[in-house]
Amino acid sequence: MGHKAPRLTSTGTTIVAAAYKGGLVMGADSRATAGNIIADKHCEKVHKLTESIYACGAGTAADLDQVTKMLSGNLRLLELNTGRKARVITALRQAKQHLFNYQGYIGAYLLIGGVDPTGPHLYMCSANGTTMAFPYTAQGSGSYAAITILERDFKPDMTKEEAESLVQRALEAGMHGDNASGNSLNLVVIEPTATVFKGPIIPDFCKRPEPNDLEYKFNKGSTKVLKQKAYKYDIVESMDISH
Amino acid sequence: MFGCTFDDQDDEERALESCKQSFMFEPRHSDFVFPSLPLGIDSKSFVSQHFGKDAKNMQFRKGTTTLAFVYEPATENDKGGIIIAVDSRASSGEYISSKSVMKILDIGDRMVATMAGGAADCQFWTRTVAKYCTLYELREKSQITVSAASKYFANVLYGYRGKGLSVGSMVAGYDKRGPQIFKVDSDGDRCQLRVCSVGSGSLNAYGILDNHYKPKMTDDEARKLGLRAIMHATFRDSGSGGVCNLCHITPTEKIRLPPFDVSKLYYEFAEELGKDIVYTPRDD
Amino acid sequence: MACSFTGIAKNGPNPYSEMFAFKAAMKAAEAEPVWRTSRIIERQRWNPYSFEGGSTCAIAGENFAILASDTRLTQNDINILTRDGEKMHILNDSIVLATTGFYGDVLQLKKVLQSRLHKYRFDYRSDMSVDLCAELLSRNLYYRRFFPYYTGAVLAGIDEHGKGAVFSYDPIGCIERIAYSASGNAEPMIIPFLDCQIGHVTLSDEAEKPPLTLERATSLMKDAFRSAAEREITTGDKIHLIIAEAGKPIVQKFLPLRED
Repeated sequence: MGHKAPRLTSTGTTIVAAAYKGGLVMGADSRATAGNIIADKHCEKVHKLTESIYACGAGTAADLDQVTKMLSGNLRLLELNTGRKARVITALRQAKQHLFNYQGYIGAYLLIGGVDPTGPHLYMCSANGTTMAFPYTAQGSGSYAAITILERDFKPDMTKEEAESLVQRALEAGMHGDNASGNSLNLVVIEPTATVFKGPIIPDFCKRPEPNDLEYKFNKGSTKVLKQKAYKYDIVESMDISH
Repeated sequence: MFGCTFDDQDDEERALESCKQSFMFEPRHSDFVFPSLPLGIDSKSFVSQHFGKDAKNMQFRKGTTTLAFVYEPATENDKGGIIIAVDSRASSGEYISSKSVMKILDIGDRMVATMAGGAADCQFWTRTVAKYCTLYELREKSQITVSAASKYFANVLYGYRGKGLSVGSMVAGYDKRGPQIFKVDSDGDRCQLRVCSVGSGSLNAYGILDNHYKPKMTDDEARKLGLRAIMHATFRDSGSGGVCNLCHITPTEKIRLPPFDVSKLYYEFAEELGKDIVYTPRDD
Repeated sequence: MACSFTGIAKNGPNPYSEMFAFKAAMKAAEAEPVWRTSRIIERQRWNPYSFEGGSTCAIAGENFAILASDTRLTQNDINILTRDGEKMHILNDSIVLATTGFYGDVLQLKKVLQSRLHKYRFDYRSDMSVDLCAELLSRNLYYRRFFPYYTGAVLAGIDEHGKGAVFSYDPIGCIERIAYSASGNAEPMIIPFLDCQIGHVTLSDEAEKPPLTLERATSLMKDAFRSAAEREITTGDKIHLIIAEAGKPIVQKFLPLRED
């Protein structure tokens, strides 16, 4: 009797990030899956922590939302208390200490990256608290496909355009080669002066190649009326809700 | 076929001889065995591991309410005999994989078997029993009794006991001893009953049957009772549903009635009671 | 130790303790027999199956049968093995087998059927009809009752009377002839759609019901797969369409689907 509770996850994900000269590009696809069903086609996996620190998440969707919400709150408090911009390493430390406490039971796999006064940084933080620093990396089920593109084409000190196109190509590879990633991609380009958010970008292979053949409309009277009952009411008060 | 000749006559005669050898005398055990798993792996646990309740994809079709009862005619115009009524749902886990299964399977002209438990098991073994019965009648030149057919069925199932078969069948029919129902299941159990129900919705069906069954009924009453019992079972049991297939075996013939949609049956029933089937919100 | 149970003692330890102990020992032996070494336990966890995802579907009409499947093969629900896998197999001019499940078993099943059909052709000098093949498939599936094929099969074709036929199976050969059927990961999405559009289960008796022409069936089939590909991750890449019409050769078509 009964049935399993539906579990909304975005374990199947492709998230990619790469540093370039003076900045950082991060990106994620937008598919959230529950089992083999797509639960959300436009899920936001690039989370803002501060003005110049972002986190991309793979793992359990709810855990990711809560962890990044907590991080952004704590970092904001820190910024207000110190009067300075938070550093990426701080965000990372907070994340790993939180996740380590829960011994992997919080299923959040994060790429934390951003630009602070010490330059651009990119870190990976896994659910059990392991962290690593990278110049470029990918995470999630589509990471195998994505990392091939990164390994082939990454060069140190790329221009912003090069880095952006690299991350986008890596994401597209992940979305193409992995069932659990797809639909559309979001990018964030972080520089000391400005942070630009791009998306959703829909690659060609994610578009529906052909529209439906038929139209599915039900004519009036399609449903059998078993019983009718009319309710009479008086208008006591009315208000304008058009604006 | 080595040494094959073009002498057709000879070939045909030989074929006839071998046919007689294998069918016109007491049947011998065939040397067919089901392919099995590698040594040391129990097929029951293996199958339930991959195709059982927790399996994600491939589950066997299951779930049923079947019932049958014997009654005597109340008036001279009635025929009496056996009513067999079944639902038509097959579910694979929580998914309804079919809503139009015929669960009354023929065994000869005046005998049927119902299907409860594993759908494939029932279909396959009922066919085996049907073959046995046909060969028996050809060989002995007399009709096989329901008792004998059901005993063969039970013996076959007992031979596979513990292997994980799931069969709950009622063999019902009219023979020289009158109308008879035998309940046979995959544990090897076989018992004769006059009122019988098998399957996940059997308790609900029994509730109606025990309440309204009389040894003497008119044909109309009896058919209605069968429909009613199935309707109530499908109403309360998630493993049963679809349409109600009904079969009436009289002393002279086997009548298969057209399928009845159970939800329509429920509307009829509700109308009879004067019950409102529509949800009405509270009027406040 | 000799057994010393001599009736129920009045003032001793619990008289039933010996029976309880025996029962517990029996239970333990049943659950964990001594002969069940770790090696045997390891072997019993043996899993010869995998599942390659995807879906197939078939519709029978008055004088046609139409089948469709996607062409993606998937490993562990995530990795794409190939984008043009064959899930449907044309067995002869009037029989098509469509299967999802463990691809190894699919190929084996196809080979078994092909060889039986070949033998039939040799013996009877004509092609087997779809009704016969359906029974044959059912029995072949059941013969593996204790080591089943991990397949969800759908057999379709044109029967002896020139009518479309679709047979649906469970892994061990429960057979049923129906108007439309699907199997695979998107089955729970496709069947309700076809129930609505072909079975008209939601329409009232008085409502007008469009007839099932070949064109309509083809369009429904395409739309079913397009919609399934939107929400089901192991379905995608291409629609493989097979149309069998009475008195005409079998037609195959490929149509694009989304690839992500």
